[in-house]
Amino acid sequence: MGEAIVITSGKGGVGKTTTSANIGTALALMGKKVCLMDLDIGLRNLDVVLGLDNRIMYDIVDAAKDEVSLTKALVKDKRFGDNFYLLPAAQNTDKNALTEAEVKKIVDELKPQFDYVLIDCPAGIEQGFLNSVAGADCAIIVTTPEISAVRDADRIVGLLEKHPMKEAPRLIINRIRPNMMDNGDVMDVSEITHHLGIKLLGIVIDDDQVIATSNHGEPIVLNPDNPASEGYRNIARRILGETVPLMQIKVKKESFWKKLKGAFK
Amino acid sequence: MKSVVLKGTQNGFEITLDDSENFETIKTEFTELLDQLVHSSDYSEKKGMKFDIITGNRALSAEQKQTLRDIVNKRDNLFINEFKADVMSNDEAYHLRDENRVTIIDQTIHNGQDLKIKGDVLFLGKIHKGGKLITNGNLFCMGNVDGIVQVGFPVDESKLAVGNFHNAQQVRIGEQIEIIEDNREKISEDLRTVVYVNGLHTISYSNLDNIKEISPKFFSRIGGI
Ligand SMILES: Nc1ncnc2c1ncn2[C@@H]1O[C@H](COP(=O)(O)OP(=O)(O)O)[C@@H](O)[C@H]1O
Ligand SMILES: [Mg+2]
Repeated sequence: MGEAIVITSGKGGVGKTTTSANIGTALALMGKKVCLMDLDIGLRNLDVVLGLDNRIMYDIVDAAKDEVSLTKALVKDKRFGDNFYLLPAAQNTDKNALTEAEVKKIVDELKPQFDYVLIDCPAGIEQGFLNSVAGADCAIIVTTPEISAVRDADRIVGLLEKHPMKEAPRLIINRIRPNMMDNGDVMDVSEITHHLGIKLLGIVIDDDQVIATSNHGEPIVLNPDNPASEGYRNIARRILGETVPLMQIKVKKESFWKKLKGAFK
Repeated sequence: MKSVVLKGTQNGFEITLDDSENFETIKTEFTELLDQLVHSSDYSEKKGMKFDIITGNRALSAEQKQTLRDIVNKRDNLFINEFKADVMSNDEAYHLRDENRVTIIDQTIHNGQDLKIKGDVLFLGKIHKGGKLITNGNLFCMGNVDGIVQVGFPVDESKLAVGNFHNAQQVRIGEQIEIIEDNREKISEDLRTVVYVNGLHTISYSNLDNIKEISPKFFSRIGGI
């Protein structure tokens, strides 16, 4: 029986969708059978980031309302053999079109067929959030080092405490800019982790390549020599139970000679 | 006066129902008439008998038609050919109108929008990725298609999509779905491209020059000979 993990944050734009796509891809590359569920009804993105947007025929609402079978609504990512599927969000229905019971039923139907069911949660704490957590066994909370994102993550930690899942939530700190953290312009990794009081699952560097590859429908983990990719792959290995040391954040300090050259320009 | 009348015509028989009489009476008289009929000299059990039912200025409901059919079917070898009325229901009228008109559309269909049309469509606008244009008829597309078009919705495979679909996400005809990404090289960037469903129920591509072979019915409708 597979495990259902919801990826949530409260705040929008912190990287839930990017994280879902990359962890999912990394797990599939490691030979696990993965299904990604996009619960961002009305503003679906996961399909675009994965490059599967041209292939969608049915969506989660069709499946929930029994208009098509669940199997028919799944979109296969051919790059990963039989390991990787997407259940797309609906794009033209009301964002409250689904109920918690309907989503839970779908998750329960997917779990026996996959090792991991990853649920990409929409921003906010309304129906979309409730639906996303309804069938999940555990949660990954994504934040960036910004105070507002951490504040929203804190809100989610509180909400999840009220309705505990099988396992405690874990934290991903995304879009870390090493020099800002080094300068003390933003909270650092241990401050954020300590503040939220949940276990750190991993950190991901802010890297332009994440955006560039997403634009081509190719998650960054497919590129082995990229620091953000390394972060996501480490996270996937920790999900599988491996012990992987936390990545060291390297600050690119300008060398003395380079600075000197700059001064004479 | 009788409200159900049988008459012989050149093409067979007609039963005319008085359109001002209530349906209950019609039913009773209709039953009586059939009983007489099977004993008349016009009827032989072997040959059977076919007739049209003329309802004048009354449009029978589907239910009423079925009631009459049931009465007829209880008797050996009697058949209703068709119901003929001088009037039609609004539904039928709209259907007829929609089936035979061409709607001209000049708008942008954005991501997440589904535009549903009845009848044939002349599309001059743009369809963005994630946008859908759906019709039960044919589609003639002069505009840019980056999204999804569906003709013959929901199950009619005889409809055509004409236009440049090289950059589309999907072309759907009836229940057949083509993901363009997988067939991009087959689909030229020509506005005169015709997408249709062939005899093997798969989507095929051709050119307006071959329209006569692809769809003789359509060809004659647009005035070809
Ligand atoms: N590690 C990263 N480095 C650079 N850009 C990132 C990173 N993670 C996410 N992004 C970018 O941030 C934006 C928002 O990410 P997204 O995953 O859509 O957030 P959410 O799903 O939480 O709304 C996107 O443009 C995405 O490419
Ligand atoms: Mg998202």
